[in-house]
Amino acid sequence: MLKTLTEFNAVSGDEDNLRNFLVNEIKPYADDIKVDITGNIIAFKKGKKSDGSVNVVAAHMDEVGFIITKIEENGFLRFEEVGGISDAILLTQKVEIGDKRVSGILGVKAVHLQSKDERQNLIKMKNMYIDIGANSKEEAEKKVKIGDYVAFASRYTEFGNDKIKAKALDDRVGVYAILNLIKEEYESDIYFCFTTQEETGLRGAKILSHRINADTCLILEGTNAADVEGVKEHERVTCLGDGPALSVMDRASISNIKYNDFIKKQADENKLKYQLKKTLNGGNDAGSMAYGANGCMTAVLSLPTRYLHSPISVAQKSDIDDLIKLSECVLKNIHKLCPVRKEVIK
Amino acid sequence: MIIENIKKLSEICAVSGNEKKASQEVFKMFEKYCDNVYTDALGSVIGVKKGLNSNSKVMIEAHIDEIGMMVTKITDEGFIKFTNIGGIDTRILPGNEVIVHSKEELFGVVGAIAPHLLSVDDLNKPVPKDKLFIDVGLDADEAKEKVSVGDLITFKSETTVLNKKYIAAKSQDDRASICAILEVLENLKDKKLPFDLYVVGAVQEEVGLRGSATVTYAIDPDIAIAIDVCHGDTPDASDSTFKLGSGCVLEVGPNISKKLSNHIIKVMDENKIKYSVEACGGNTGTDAWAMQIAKNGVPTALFSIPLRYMHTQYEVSSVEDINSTSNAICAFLTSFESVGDIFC
Repeated sequence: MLKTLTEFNAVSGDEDNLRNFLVNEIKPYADDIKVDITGNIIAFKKGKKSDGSVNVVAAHMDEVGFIITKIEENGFLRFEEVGGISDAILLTQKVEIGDKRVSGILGVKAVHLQSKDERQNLIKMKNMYIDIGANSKEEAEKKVKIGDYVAFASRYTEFGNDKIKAKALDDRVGVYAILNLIKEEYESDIYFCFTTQEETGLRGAKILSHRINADTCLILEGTNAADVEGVKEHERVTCLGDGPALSVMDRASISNIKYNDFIKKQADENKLKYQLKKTLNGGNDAGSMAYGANGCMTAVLSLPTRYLHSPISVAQKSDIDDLIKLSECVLKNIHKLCPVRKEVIK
Repeated sequence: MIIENIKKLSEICAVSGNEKKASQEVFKMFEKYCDNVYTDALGSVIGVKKGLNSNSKVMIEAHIDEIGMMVTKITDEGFIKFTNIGGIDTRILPGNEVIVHSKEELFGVVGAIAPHLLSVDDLNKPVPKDKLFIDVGLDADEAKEKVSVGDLITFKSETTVLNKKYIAAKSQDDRASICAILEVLENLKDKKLPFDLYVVGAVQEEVGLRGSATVTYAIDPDIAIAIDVCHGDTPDASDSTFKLGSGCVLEVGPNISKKLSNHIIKVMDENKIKYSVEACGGNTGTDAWAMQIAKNGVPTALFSIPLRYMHTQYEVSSVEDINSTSNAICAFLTSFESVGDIFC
C-alpha cells in the first residue's frame, strides 16, 4: 500500500487522483465522509462511548513538485517549484508531467561543455529546463500545457537494512498510517482527515480547522532525519530506527504540553518507541489546526525521513510500524486526555 | 530493435577496466551475425563477418566501457565516500540513485541534506565534492562487511522513451553506437561483402582510448570507422552541438582520412541520408584518434551520434539518428568493390 501511495502523483493543488483513491479505501470504515471546497477529506467515525469531544487525526495528501510555466520555441519546458525544493538535487532527475504522466528529464549541458567557473556555480531552478523529447513548441503542446503539475519519477524501493526509498514519504506515510488507523474501533468519536496544500503553507488544514473546530488534533507527518554524514550530533533532528518523533515546537506551532505528556505516558506504559524532534526547523498542519477557529490541543508524531523533499527520501520500516502503533495507542485512549470542551469555557 | 538493445546494454555495469559484463553481452549479440567472435587480451570483443574476399579488412568500432565511480572509504557510520572514473559533473549527483557493485549489488542514493537544514549560504552553492556521500541503508558493521574500497559504482536509471522517438538512459556513450553496429549487421546479414568485416566493442575508451589501440593493431584493417557520440542540442549549450533527430554526424579534420570522408559524403548524398558534418582541428577525443596511428597507420573515419546530457544518468539520444548512422555505414560498406577504389 505504501508503494501505491508514494507512486501517486499529488503535488499541492493537484491531489484529485489520490483523493479519489483514498475516499474509496476508507468507505467501509467511516460513518460519514465529506470532501470540502479545498479538497480535504473529512471522515467521521463514531466512538463506542462518544463523550462529545471532537478528536482529529490528520495527514496531508500533497507532495512537493513543480508546475510548468512556459513552453519554449525549441520544445523545452520551464517550470517553478511547488513547495520547498533545493536546486542542488534537481539536475538529471526524471519527472512526470500532468495527468498523462509524460516523462521528462531535467537536463543540463554535458560536463565537457562547461567552463571551470560554471562547474563551481549552483544552477538555479529558473535556468533549468525539462526535456520531453519535443523538437518545437507545437510538438510539446501536443503533450503538455502551461499549468501542468510535475512530480518526481521515483519508484518505491526496499533496500539496505529495513530501509525504503521513495518520493513523497512526506506525507504519504501519514496517509498510510491513517488508512490503517481508521480500520480500528475507538471509544471516542474521531475525525480521520487528509488535507491538501500543506507544502504551500498549511492551507488545507486551515479550512479544516474552521470546519471541525476540534478539541484535540494529532498530526502524522514526515520529518527530517539528519543522522547522516557531515551533520553534527546536535543538529541531527531525528534518527532512523529510534521510532516516531514527537515535536515540542517548530516554526509553525507549539505542541500542547498536556497532549505531549499524554503521548509519552502512553508510549512508556505500552513500551512503544519514540524520540523527541531535536530542532525547531520546519512546520506542519499543526500550525493551522492549533490556531484555527477557537484553537485546539495539538501534537505531532513524525516519521524520521532522510533527504526529505527529494525523489530519494529514505526511511526505516520499523519506524513506520512504531508510528502506527503509538498513534493507535494514543487514539484508543484519547478519552483519557480529557480535553476541555470549548463550550464549557463559553 | 534499437530501443530493446539500448535498454539491454545501457543497464549493464561496465566501468572502464571492468567491462566483462558488457563484453559478454556484446559477444552474444555479435555471435548472431558473425562467423567468428573473440576477445583480445584487454577484453575488447571482436566479431568477424567473412566476405567474398579476405584480402582486405574493414573495421567498425565503438567502445563498451562507461564512466562511473569507485568507493574510496566506508565511514564509521556506514556511509560511502567515492571518487569518479571518467568525467562527471558532481553537481548532478545529490538526489540520484546508484548501484554499488560489491559482493552483491547494493542499491544506494547520493545523500542530499534537506533544504530545511542548510544555511542560506549553503543553499546557494553546489554541494562540495568532498561532502558527497552514498547511503546504502546499512549500519556501519554491515556496510564494512559488504562494501570494499575499490568497489565500482554506477548510475541507476530506468530506460525511458521520450515522445516516442528519443531514448533516455545511462551509458548510451557509447552503447548507442554498439546499437548502430548491430543495425548494420542486421541490415547486411544476408549480404556477402567483398571484404572481411570486423566489428569491435572496445574497452577503456573513457580513460584514454586504450582498448581500440590494441584491437586495431591486431586487426590491421584497410579502413577503420569509429562510432562515438557528440553533444546534442540543449538550451544551455548552443555551440558545437547537433540537433537531435537531424541525422548522423560525420567528422572531418586531421584525425580523418580526407579521401575516405569525401567518399562517405558522396555515398550519403546519393542515398539521401540525413547527416551533418563536424570539423575538428585535431584530437577528436574518440577512439578514432588512437586507431588512425595503429601499427602502420589506418585510414580512419568517425561517425558521431548526437547525445544530450552526456556522462549523466539520463543521456538522451534519437532513434532516428542511430538509424541514420547505421544506414550511412551500410551504404558506405556496399559502395565499393575494392578498397583501393576509394583511395586512388
